[in-house]
Amino acid sequence: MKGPSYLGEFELMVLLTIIHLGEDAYGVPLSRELAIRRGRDVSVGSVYAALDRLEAKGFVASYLGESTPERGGRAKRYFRVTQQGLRSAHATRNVLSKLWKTLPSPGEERA
Amino acid sequence: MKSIQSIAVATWMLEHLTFGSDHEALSGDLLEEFQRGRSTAWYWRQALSAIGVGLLRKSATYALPLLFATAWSTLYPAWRAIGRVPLTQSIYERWASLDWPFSTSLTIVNGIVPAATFIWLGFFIYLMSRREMAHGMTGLRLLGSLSIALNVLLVTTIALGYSGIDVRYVPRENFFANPHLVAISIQLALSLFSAIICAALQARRQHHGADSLAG
Repeated sequence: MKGPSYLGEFELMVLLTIIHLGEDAYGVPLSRELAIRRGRDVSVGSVYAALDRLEAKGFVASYLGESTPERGGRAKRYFRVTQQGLRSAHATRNVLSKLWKTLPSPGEERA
Repeated sequence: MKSIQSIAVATWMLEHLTFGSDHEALSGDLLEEFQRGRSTAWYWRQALSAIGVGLLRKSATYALPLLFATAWSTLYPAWRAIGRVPLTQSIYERWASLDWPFSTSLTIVNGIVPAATFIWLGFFIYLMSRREMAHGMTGLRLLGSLSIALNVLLVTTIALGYSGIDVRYVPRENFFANPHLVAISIQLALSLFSAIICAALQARRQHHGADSLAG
């Protein structure tokens, strides 16, 4: 039986940001939201690379949206999280939660 | 003042040097941000970063098939040794004694068939190890990849034939010490690599096609 697929740190951030943005999840708001949350600018190319990996794994799906003059007539690519992606996010959270519990406080002796 | 010409150059580079299907959406996103007040330097930084990321992704896509094809091609002398069983030897000798055109066809059979079957076997092994590639592989697509492998093999056989390199001649020597064997391995690796890349591109196209339909 195939085990659950876990997400990398940046992939998880991208996935959660897509969920947070809902219907408006395309490159610009995704990069902005990620930059705000992380506290530093993100490369839009890296965001697309992560989205491409997530799409290849079946965790997100995309579709082309409207094009606007300010985009030079280029269409937006909207993303949404699939059920498989949602399952993977939960599985990753469960594993990380268990691991975080063993994290000692700074200055605390490790058992 | 923002340099529109400079932006046009960066956009052109972005759309022609990133090979993914996202380049249009990506350049649209950057233009949208630029129109909302981002600087030319920011635009260039983002465009160059996206090109770099795209090239890295692309090289990673090709690295594994290339590595596998190169490694697999070094096994060819062993494959030929396995093929030299008494039964195939007796068939070969009987066929060689026949008149033209059967004796001529033997030249092709003796050279191409072992090489082609070796490459096809390598292709199937790679395909089985990469589930995402094997998934959704139709008979027609499989035939296309196998045919690409055969065509590349035939073309390189003809091209290398002028240099005196003959895929039929496989001496039992140390593989890496024999330039002839190394030349054959490049030919075989190229053929196998072409088949794998053809299948990978088909799988990728199918994946994107399915997503577009879903959208």
